[in-house]
Amino acid sequence: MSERGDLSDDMTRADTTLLDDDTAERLLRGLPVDTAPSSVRALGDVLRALRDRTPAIDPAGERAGVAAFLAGLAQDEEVETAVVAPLAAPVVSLAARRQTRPRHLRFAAAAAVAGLTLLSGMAAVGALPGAAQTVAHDMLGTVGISVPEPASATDGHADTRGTDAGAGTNAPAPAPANGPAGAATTPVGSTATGGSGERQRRRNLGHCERRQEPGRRARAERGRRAGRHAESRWQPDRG
Amino acid sequence: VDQPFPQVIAAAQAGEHAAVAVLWKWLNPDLLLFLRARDPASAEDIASETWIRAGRSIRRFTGSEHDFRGWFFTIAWRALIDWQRKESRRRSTPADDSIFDELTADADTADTAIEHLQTDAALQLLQSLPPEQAEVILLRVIAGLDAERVARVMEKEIGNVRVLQHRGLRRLAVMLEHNAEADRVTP
Repeated sequence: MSERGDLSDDMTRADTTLLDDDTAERLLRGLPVDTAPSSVRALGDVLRALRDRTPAIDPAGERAGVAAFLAGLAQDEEVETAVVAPLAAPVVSLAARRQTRPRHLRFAAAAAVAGLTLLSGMAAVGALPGAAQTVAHDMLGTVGISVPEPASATDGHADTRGTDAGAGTNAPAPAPANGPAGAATTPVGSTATGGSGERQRRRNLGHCERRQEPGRRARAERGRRAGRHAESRWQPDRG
Repeated sequence: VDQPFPQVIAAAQAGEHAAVAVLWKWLNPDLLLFLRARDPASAEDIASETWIRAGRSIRRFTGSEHDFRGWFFTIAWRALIDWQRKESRRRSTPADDSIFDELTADADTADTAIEHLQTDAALQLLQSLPPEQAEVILLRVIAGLDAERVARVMEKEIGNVRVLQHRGLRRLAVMLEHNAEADRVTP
């Protein structure tokens, strides 16, 4: 049988000894166990030898131990200083900053982002009203994002949504005016919708002109001015 | 501790050399003995690490003298575990049960413990126990902690600690009896 087997047998035998909870507690507390079997009494002597030994004090060890303790204390001071210092120059983590940010600001920021995303999406598919689509087209075009123009989004038809023309279209038709007042509000030879359509056409044309190359426009303008100036200079001579 | 404990702790928290020396004289012999029983080769190093850690967190300690012993040996226990983990990574040699067999078979060690009751021999006897059983007995006998504090130090249930200490004591008793019989057989 192996050593371990012998030990197991012995342990089974030890179960029958008087090592109950009370005896175990007395052994651990260094109290006498006179009524216990000899092996348990021997164990009591071993444990008492450990407990009652005379500690050897080593002065060099004491100096080293105290120095180690004070070094740890100094490290703790450094950590505490590092914790207090941010009051002057805060270095706060992103999570902490999120915690300290007021809730209503967070909601506002989230709403703004959501609104911007929605508008961008609508602009991308050309679903914005005409003027807004034009603005979106111009602004996003400057950052390299291509969104359709109002005309292309409406398949070649003028998009009058969100414009004066659109408002005119959606507004109830004005009652026919008889008299000067009516003549003043409604231009002769045009209806309300017709007038709005003309304005829109001019606006689109103006928009197209604005989209012309700036240098070309400037040159053309300079040419016209030069022509008028030359004309005005020539007139006195003619006279 | 001869002086009033709250004053000693307050002075140690303020970094007074004399107060720290009082604590060192009070606890270091037990600490070293505990560590020598668990890791004889590194006991001094782990003790030093324990004192550094104690200094690092002494300001946050509040409690009685007994609480301080439990607190201090909790630090020692964790320093020991950290050290052993570091060592096991360095060695990367798996523990072998045969070590235990060899230790229990070492009749000379137990004989010396019985005959001379010397501290070193007693420590070697304790080293032959499974680690957790040895640690519970060492914390109870050397550190002088009760079962409840040992449970807190080792982060175990108190019932588990009682089972470990009982098994360890029984095993030691059996070993001593075994060796006494061997002595009787071989005069």
